[in-house]
Amino acid sequence: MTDFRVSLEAHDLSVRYTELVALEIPRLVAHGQIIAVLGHNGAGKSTLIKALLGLLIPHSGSLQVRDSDGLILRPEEHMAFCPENGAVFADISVESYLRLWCRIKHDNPRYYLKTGATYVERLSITQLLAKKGRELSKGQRRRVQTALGFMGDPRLFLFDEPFDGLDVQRTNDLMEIVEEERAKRAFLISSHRMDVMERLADLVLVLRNGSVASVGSVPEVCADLTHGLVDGSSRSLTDAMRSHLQSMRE
Amino acid sequence: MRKSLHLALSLIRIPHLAISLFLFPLLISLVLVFVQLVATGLLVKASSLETATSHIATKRQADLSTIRRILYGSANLRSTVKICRWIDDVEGERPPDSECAPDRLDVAINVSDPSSFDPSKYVELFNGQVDRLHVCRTCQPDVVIAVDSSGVARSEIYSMYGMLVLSLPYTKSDLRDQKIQLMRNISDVKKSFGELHLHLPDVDGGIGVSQLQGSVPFTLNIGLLVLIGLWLALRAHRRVLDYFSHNNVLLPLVAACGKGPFYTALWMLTLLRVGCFLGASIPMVFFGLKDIAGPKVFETLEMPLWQLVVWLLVLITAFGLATVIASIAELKHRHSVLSFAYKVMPILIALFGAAMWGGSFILPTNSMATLRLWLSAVPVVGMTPIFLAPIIKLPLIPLLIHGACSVILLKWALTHNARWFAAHLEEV
Repeated sequence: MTDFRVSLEAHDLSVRYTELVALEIPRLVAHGQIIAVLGHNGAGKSTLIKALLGLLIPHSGSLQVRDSDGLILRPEEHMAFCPENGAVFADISVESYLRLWCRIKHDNPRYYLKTGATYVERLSITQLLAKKGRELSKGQRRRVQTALGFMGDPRLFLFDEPFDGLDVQRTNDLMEIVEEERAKRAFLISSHRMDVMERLADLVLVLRNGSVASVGSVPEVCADLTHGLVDGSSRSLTDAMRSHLQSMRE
Repeated sequence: MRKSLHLALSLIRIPHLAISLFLFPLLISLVLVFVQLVATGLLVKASSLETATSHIATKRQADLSTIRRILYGSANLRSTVKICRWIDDVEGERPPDSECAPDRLDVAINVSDPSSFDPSKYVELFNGQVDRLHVCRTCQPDVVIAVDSSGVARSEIYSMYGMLVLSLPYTKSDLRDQKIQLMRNISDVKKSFGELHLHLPDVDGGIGVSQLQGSVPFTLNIGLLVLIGLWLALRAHRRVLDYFSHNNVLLPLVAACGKGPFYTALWMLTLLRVGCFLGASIPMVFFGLKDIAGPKVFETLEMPLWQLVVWLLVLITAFGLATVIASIAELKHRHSVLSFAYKVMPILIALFGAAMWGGSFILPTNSMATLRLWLSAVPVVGMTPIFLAPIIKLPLIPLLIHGACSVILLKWALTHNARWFAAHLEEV
């Protein structure tokens, strides 16, 4: 199976909230299928996602994602985003939301019944169709939004904390889906679940105070973050991040 | 553009948005326009002597007797009112005879000593209007007028019919005749002065005060329409953003549709909303004004059509600037305790400008006239003179300067804050 890869490229990137610099990356070229974006709160993970989605305009420099053919991915055409809390209208049914989304993205409100049926089934949405958004749990809302994201057939799927609050079964299900989908699309996942990221990600990007602290494969990042510590390269990502956060506090 | 239109039409399908964005505000706005028209009608009727006299004269019996028709089933005057002085016996207070048996539609005058009370004043008022006038200590039909020993009266009304009974004396023909005479006298005084022209240093040819009867309602109604339209536009933006934001779908939706198409769709919804409102209200105001102030209402404006259009455009940008400033300020400082102060800041500035502008009329000098022109040209500060431009015949130059400055400031406010909005999209 040929995996789909994207390259994340930033040149002299500076993203600011008025005067506050939220993200500053002088140069970054990173290739990956499943990119884990890690960092403490306020490190710049959400800013990076918003900048990738074109919701934040860089103050200077550029940020873009290319596919393996060199095509620059455009947010509305090639990307999907699933926020941390899931996104479903509280007062309309899941089915109406799916229809609305399919009408917007595919000009066909019944798209979810045909092409999108796999995702509806795989993410166990079928039994939720009649429920309104307000009746769904956080995990269910996220499943709906995840299904919608897949239905857009994106080349890059951006996930914000997708595993947060999921039980073991749901975590494994989602990991399985991501693993299966990596042939067709790349993923950029912002998460605190180091154990999951360690198993999934082939590229890890660690942000620290708005800049890149480390980037590379899991072993590379582990070595990088624990550099100078006892046998750093043999540590797990969880331990490496713990050391990283500890060093920040010190 | 097609994508945005498609998105806008898709979003309207969300029932909550359709109701809150179109139906509810449209109804509210139309009610506001209706109230505005009624208020205008009352204003015009009250200020028009000719209308008032003819109104009173033509409605002599027909309309006013409607109350009697409701109360008694007949529009005719009642027979002479019967005075029933109640008497005391061993069982307590009772009517003097069987013809004085109390009815709900009678009127009672509660006094401490019924035998000595002189009811002639009340007989004169209620003669032909009610059947019986009871003079008693405690009897209680729907209308009771309690008169104390010093002659001070207080009326207690126990039903809506009682309210109608009490309104009957106002319909008496001699009272109406006096009213008509008064109106005619005032009209005579007015005729002896002819048309009034108020001359101010900054107004060429003076202001035709006699023409204000037409231009004031026109200006007020158009100005209020613009205000309601802007309010609807502003609320449309916030409502859609708030709705998406509360449901946490703003970011995924904007990301999925693209920022440009999403905001264009938002503008389309806004325009659609304002369009619906204007489509419903403009004919209502047009025909309403024509009916209320007469068909010549649109001829009383001493302003060519192109100048009227310029005024409208300037009015829209001036009010638009004020509402955008208020909205942005409130949004950016919504977590502050004083957020409401930011919201009303443009109104306070405009009121300050209005006070200065109005105060300048106290001194009829050229320097004050110049000050007025300067004030009129300053955005937000000069909103009052801009609003009243057709009435006060504001010269074109300050009008244009005000409009140009408002457009520049509007553009600056929007572009300057665009980055902030983008950064705080999910917090909106």
